[in-house]
Amino acid sequence: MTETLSLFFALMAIGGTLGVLGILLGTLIVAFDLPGSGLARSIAADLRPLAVVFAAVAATTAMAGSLYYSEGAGFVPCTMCWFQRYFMYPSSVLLLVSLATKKWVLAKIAWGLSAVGIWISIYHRAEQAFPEAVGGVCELNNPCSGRYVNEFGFITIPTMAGVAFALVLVLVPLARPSNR
Amino acid sequence: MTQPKTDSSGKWFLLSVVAIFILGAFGVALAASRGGGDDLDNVAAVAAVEITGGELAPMPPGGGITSHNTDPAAGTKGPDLVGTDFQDQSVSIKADGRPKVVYFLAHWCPHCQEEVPQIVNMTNQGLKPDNVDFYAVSTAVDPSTPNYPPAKWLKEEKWPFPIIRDTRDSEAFTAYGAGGFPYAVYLDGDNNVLFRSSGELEPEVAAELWARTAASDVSQ
Repeated sequence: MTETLSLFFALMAIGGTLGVLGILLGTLIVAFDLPGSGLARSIAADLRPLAVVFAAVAATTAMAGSLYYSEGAGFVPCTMCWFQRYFMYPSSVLLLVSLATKKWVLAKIAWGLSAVGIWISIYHRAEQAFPEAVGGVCELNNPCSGRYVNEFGFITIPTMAGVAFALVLVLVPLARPSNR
Repeated sequence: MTQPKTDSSGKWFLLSVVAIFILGAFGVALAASRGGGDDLDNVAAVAAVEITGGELAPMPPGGGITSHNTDPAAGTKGPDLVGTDFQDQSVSIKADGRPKVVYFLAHWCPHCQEEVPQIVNMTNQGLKPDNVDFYAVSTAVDPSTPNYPPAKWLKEEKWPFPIIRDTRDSEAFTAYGAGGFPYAVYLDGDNNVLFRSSGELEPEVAAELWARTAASDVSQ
């Protein structure tokens, strides 16, 4: 079960990364009026009404995944995981409420939370990549540099969280009402 | 509102693409993880260990390499350990005239995860002294932590030396002084402690400690 879900979350993270890169690329194409800017504009127009939906899906999947790992799989969250949770869970709720109430300002707050959260994910992922940077000894506890999940050799739990934060960061501005 | 009514087919197209991707990812994950359970998943990660003799003094905190001056356990006899490996074969660590290096490894510890392949590599390069025996004690086992089960990990790393499964309460580890991981105890042929190390070691340092252990062998 855990293996299946980890692979699913990892594939979602890869898809999410492609989405983030696609949106960033599209933004650059539009900003510099590069070839294909017409297509990029029309995709952005189609994406606009869905942007908060997708952002909410990303944050809620991340929240559900983290709850599954701690409650279902029994992985004890480390300190860094908790800090990411502090920013991810309210983002998810805010985005869902923003969808329901059509109040874009709530999505904006979620954007702000994600803008902080993504740096925690990056720091946490770096700690996993270079564990000796945090000292050469493991005491009998749960170090944040441990990897509960390591799909394809590089997708760990903070990687997934980071992608979800990044998705919120690129999607929410697309939905800005004044863009219309 | 003078906004032109745009064609909403693009929106539905995007929605479908994302929905199909999510369903597809779930399907792939489900298909890929069907069946295929590893036998090692069902191997008991902990087992009884017979411990004879007094406990070593606890490893001084903070990691590092101890010496006769800094280590209260130096010169004292390490307790005999009789346990089993992951194949249920009996493995013992007792005074048999040969110097030993006993590695206490925790599967969840990233420093052990770095140290183990280094020891394996150095051994493959012929750096392990022939007159020294190496052992691993798989300890501090916790199924809720990363890189579980230890049997699978050590098999994947092709750990070539005998392994003792520690008890659920890590009694062998405690009896040997419980240092921070990776924790190694270097013993002479009479099972007396030469020195101990706690934490990841540079290859040159590890090789030097191995050589010092080998040099304790008076039969050479």
